[in-house]
Amino acid sequence: MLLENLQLEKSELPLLENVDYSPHPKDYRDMRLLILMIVMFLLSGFWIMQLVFLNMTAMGVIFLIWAGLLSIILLEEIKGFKKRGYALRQRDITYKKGFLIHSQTTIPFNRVQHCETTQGPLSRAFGLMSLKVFTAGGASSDLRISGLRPEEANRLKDFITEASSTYE
Amino acid sequence: MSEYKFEEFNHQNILGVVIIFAQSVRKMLNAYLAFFAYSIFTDGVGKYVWWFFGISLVFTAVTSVLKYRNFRFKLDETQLVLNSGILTKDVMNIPLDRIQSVQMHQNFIQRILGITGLKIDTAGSSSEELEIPALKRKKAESLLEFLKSKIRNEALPKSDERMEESSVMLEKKSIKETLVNLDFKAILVLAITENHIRNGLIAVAFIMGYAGQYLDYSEQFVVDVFDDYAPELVESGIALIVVFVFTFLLLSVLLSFIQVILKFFDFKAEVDDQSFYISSGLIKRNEFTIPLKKIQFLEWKTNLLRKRLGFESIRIHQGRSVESAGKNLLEIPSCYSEQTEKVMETLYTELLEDDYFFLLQPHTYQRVFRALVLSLFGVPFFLIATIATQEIVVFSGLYLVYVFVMIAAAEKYYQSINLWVNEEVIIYERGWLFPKRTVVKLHKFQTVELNQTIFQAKRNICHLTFSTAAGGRSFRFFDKSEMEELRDFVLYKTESFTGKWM
Repeated sequence: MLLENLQLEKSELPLLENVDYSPHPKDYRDMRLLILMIVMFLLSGFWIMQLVFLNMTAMGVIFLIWAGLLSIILLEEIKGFKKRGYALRQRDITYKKGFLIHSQTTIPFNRVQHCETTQGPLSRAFGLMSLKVFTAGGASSDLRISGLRPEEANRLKDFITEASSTYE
Repeated sequence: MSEYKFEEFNHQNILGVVIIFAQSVRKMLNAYLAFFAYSIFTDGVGKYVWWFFGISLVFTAVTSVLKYRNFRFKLDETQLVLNSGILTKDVMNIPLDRIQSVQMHQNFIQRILGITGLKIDTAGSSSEELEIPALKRKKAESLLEFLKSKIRNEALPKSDERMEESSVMLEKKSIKETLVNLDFKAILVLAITENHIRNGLIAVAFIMGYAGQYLDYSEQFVVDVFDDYAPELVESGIALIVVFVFTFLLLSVLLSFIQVILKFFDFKAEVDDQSFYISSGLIKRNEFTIPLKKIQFLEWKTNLLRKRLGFESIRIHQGRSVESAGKNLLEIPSCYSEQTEKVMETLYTELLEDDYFFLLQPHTYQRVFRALVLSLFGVPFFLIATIATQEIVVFSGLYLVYVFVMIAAAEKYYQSINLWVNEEVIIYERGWLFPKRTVVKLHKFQTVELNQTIFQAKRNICHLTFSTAAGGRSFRFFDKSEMEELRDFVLYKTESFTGKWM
């Protein structure tokens, strides 16, 4: 085992904060908004049905809750889209996302089990593809990056597969 | 190495027919249970059930013989091959380096017949359990030894210079040191100091979950909830429902005793520089071999009573697939400080006596948040009590007391949190009622995640969550710049590590 165990100075550590993140194409935001609209539309049918059985005050309260929820989700979608992005380094990949709850997930290539690209009908219509990076031991530690251009996703997949297979 | 040849296809011991038959009959009984119950209460249809049962029994006997005849296994240089199936022929190839652990086990029937089953655990995500159910004990031991030697050879470096080293290592491995050996008194102490409330809750969840197949889920659920917030809640609840709690406690204590004695009877843990060896159990005897390299992380747990008596339990977390989550948990139930030291020395070889540790502590916002959450937990209860009894003054007073207790508890918890980092490991300590200590090697990480809500951004705090192949833990409410540094350090350690990690 070639574990170099030298004392590292803080300044020598490769810093993740300094990397540039690549954003998603705008189409991905549009796709997300479209999905949101479809979901909202389906749910609104449910609410309209309630109208028959409820009085005006109850409807008002429900509408307020409804509007509040929608504005939070919209805020998250629009503000959050700018926060999304992935960064590739020599030995790991990082994906960041989220406005209200921001997260940065990093997977080192020598812990990757395999990689996969998938494309559903909707993402095909938008010309997008998702990349999944799998690690051992359960879905909680896997990474999924949706909304990439197909060529980009495949390039990423090949790169990660290549990089991870050089390790044992 | 022995009189057994594993390179050729082997059958199991002939008594395997009985074992396979017993297993099948048990499965069949489960399926028939409803019919039997039905036939007791109704006339007419009843006797047909018994006829069917008789026919099925004969059928099972025949298939058992066939199953036994078609089950063969062999071992070559790189893999274990299992052939099985009556109509469909299944050939299963298990590469030796995928084997996580090999476990000998005996249930009641196997014990009477004097044979042993061998369970093979792989990290793969296939949920199928690999098992050779019936082997003579000597043969099982020999196969186990053989498998282990193969796995070791695989893992050893190939060059000549290293070969010498490895032969030294192989010699050394024969020196097994006994780590823990529980006598009956120790088991009684263990049983008395069990967390009875939790055991009781698990039992309740189990009863409510009814069927045994839900045990794992319900147990996991109760354990998770209990570990997070419930200790303080349970404590405050006790004062209010004394009578119920008293019977509940009595049953729980009884349950703890039965559980501990069944599980840890004649418990023995040994260690050499390759593996842990654990054997225990009264009716169902289990023997585990856990290669040190495959251990993802360890967690020491204790409670106030045990802490006073000076011992802790160690949970050994190995790589696992989603399906077998929770089943691969292994435990050394009673460890005093010298045994803990021994474990640490064995596992963390690069850990030096005077190693420089770096201590991190959470932001003070942690206790505020925890106090808030714990206080809010009580709101529905007090609200319902107030509405039901109309005693507003009494219950708002009680709620105030509750909030103060929770604030104190949060403060205590906050003070118990320590995060130690050095060149090799991270040690995460927390808890005062139920202190826990997680020790994970830096290169075991496979995903690192930094989380921050928009409210935490102002205070510059965040959570850092790591995952290993055996699940993960979160360091919550720490300073963001410190966590970023820790993340970079951990990533550097993982990425520069070239050996095997699971």
